[in-house]
Amino acid sequence: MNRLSNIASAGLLGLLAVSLAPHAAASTSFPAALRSKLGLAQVPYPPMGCQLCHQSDAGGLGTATKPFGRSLLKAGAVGGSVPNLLKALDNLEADGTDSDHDGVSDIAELKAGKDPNVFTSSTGMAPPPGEDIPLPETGCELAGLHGSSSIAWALLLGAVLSFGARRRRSE
Amino acid sequence: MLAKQSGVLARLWAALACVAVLLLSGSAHAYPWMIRHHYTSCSACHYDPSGAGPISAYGRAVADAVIRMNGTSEGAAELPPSAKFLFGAVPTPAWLELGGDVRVMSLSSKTAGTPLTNRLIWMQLDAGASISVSGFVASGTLGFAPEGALGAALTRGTDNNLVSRQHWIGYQLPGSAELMLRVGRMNLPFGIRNVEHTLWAKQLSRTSIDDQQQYGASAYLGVGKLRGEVMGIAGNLQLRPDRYRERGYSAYLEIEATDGLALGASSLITYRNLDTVTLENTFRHAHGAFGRWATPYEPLVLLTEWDYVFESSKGSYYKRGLVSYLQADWEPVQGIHVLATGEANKVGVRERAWSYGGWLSYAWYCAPHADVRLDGIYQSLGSSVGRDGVFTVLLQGHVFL
Repeated sequence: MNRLSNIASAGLLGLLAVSLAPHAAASTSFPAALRSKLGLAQVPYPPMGCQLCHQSDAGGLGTATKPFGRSLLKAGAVGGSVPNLLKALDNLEADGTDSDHDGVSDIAELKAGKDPNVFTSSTGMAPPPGEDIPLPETGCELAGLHGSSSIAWALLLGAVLSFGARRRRSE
Repeated sequence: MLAKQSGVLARLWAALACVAVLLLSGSAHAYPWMIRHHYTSCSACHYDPSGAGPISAYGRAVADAVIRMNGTSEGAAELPPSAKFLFGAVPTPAWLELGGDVRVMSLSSKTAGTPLTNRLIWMQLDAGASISVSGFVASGTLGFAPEGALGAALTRGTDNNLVSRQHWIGYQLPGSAELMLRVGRMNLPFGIRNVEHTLWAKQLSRTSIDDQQQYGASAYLGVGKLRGEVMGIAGNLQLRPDRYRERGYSAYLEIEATDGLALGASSLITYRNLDTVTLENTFRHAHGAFGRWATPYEPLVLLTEWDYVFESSKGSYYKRGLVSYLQADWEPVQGIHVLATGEANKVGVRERAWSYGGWLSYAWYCAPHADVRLDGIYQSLGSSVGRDGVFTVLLQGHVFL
């Protein structure tokens, strides 16, 4: 049993080493499913289409903060679940949800090749004032540093180097 | 002038190093199947009395003796070098425990009708420290997250953030009962605390140990066969503005009903002015039961959790339903675990349908400070318009200091 286990485990380690090769990032499932569901030639915000809901093509949990993305989430969409996305689209269509309040439903706008996040008036109607709700942001109150990746790296690297240097000096 | 500047820089880096060292912590273990070894409580090994996160010197000794393959003999008089921080290369005083975790994962996922996706995810690049002096305990972690973990982010980017998943201080009251009071950012006391943070039960109750910790104050009590913790939630202070922060409570109570069988119940209610999804004020409930059973067949442990979750946002449909899982952990040889997990949920808005998931996992605690894990997951996601299958393969490597 031990020998078998060791062989299996060695195989697993080998598989792990191979799998650590660089991978492509990000899922493209949702835009493709949406396009297929509604029979669209193209989803707004090509080529990825992620920005129909997300702030950027990087996507990710908690970043679907555009009006149409929020409507989908309220209608039952869940990250990573295509069936729930399809059901949420059904709900939006049944409810006639109009995320940008321009009088045309989201689904109708998508089918017409328009962006359901952007108010477009065909009657000269002005967009509703609405409440100016700040979007949620993450990070420490004290940080106040936007685009902090380089700073994050520098802090960590500096701390590690300093710690190492002090260790060497003390030996 | 240059010498003066270099002195200032040296002091600056030294200060940074101190911060880093102070925030170096033990490893993020969370192994509820340790009930197999008669550890029904977590506080013997973890600084967090409800489990997960930094471990004490005793925890290191136990891990080295009974978790890894070919472990040292249990009850050894002295902690072996293989179990110590950095294999004993950096001695630490008795009141200080240092550590860290590097966890990388290859994820391949295929949803019916959509392309195969492959990703490499650095799940954990964390370090930290725990201090214990005369009943006072402090513990914290600091790490780097190339992506995700936004709920624990210290910096304000959408990716490449510094993260701190937990940092708290506490006091262990003297006396026969185990009573510990804590304040800070902590894991929510709810259900079974395990490493499979993507289980639906953890995600839908939002109580995973990945980045769903909250700030608040808690009281842990362990007396006889009972243990439990209640936490007053003040919100995630790493989320702004304040209107998005959840306030409420989370708690669990567990009793060792018989030798090797622990049964518990959990409850959580929170309120926030603005839900990050619906942008409306929202009440959130999660209530449930859980159990851990070290079966008479010693290599087998069963774990289960059943929760009902309910969310009501003003102006939106209720999101509600049942979520559960049952996990069998089989350890035929010390250090090798074969896990079979079944999960189900019927959580959603309006017309809901059951979703089912099955995990088959293999975890090998192959060497001191290292383990690897392979998971094959099939999920059948239900909705009223049909059902789709998702197949996912996860391969993880984990090294801890």
